[in-house]
Amino acid sequence: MHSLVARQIFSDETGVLTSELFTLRGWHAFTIAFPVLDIGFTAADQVRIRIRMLCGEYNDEPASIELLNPKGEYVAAVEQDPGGVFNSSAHPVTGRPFICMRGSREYHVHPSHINDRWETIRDQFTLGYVLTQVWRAWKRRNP
Amino acid sequence: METQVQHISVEVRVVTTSGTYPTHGFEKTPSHQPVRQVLKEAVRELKIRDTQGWIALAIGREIDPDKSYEGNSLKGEVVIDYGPKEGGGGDA
Repeated sequence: MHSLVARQIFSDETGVLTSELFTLRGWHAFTIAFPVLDIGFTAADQVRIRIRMLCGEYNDEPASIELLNPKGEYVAAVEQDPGGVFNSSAHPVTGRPFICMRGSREYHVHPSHINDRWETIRDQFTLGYVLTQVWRAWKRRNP
Repeated sequence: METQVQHISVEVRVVTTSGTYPTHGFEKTPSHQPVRQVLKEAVRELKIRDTQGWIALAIGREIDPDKSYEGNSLKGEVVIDYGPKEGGGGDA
């Protein structure tokens, strides 16, 4: 995909994420600038984890999702949620904990899910949609 | 003898990752109306493609869209957070 198209899709999908939504959900915006959407999830008014979505080839490819601590460093482990979205094992490509869920590049390139093809489902997904699903999974452990 | 029915209203606002409905302020709605009505309006106005599996939260708890505001114990100004439920893990 031409980077201008990816940039436009990124702009369209992040431009509707309002400050009201962030306040309501306790999200903290670290970066919203193509190709990076870096959002912190808070509990008790403190950022506990950062979800950094790399969107350079979005949406020909799903966003790659990195799990960071509040300082912006890769986390060495994550607490697994009941649904198994947060996977603490080493991803075969990145070697790090990852988001194991449709809409995450690490899911779609994982050997266990290689047949669950992004291009057949991407029309149902937006960056906000994926971020919401990740946030709700995280909230189960961090009410 | 005629019985007077008091019509109580709530002020509603729906917040999603596709935008907010209404864009500014609140929608005045009868409190006996099902919550789903305003969700449908929000989906249409915000051009949301698919809401299968979505859930609605208000004052920090999940509400039942098929019940009224009264039925969900909601009154006054109601801000609804509407979006997909948590993703399914892949068991990788």
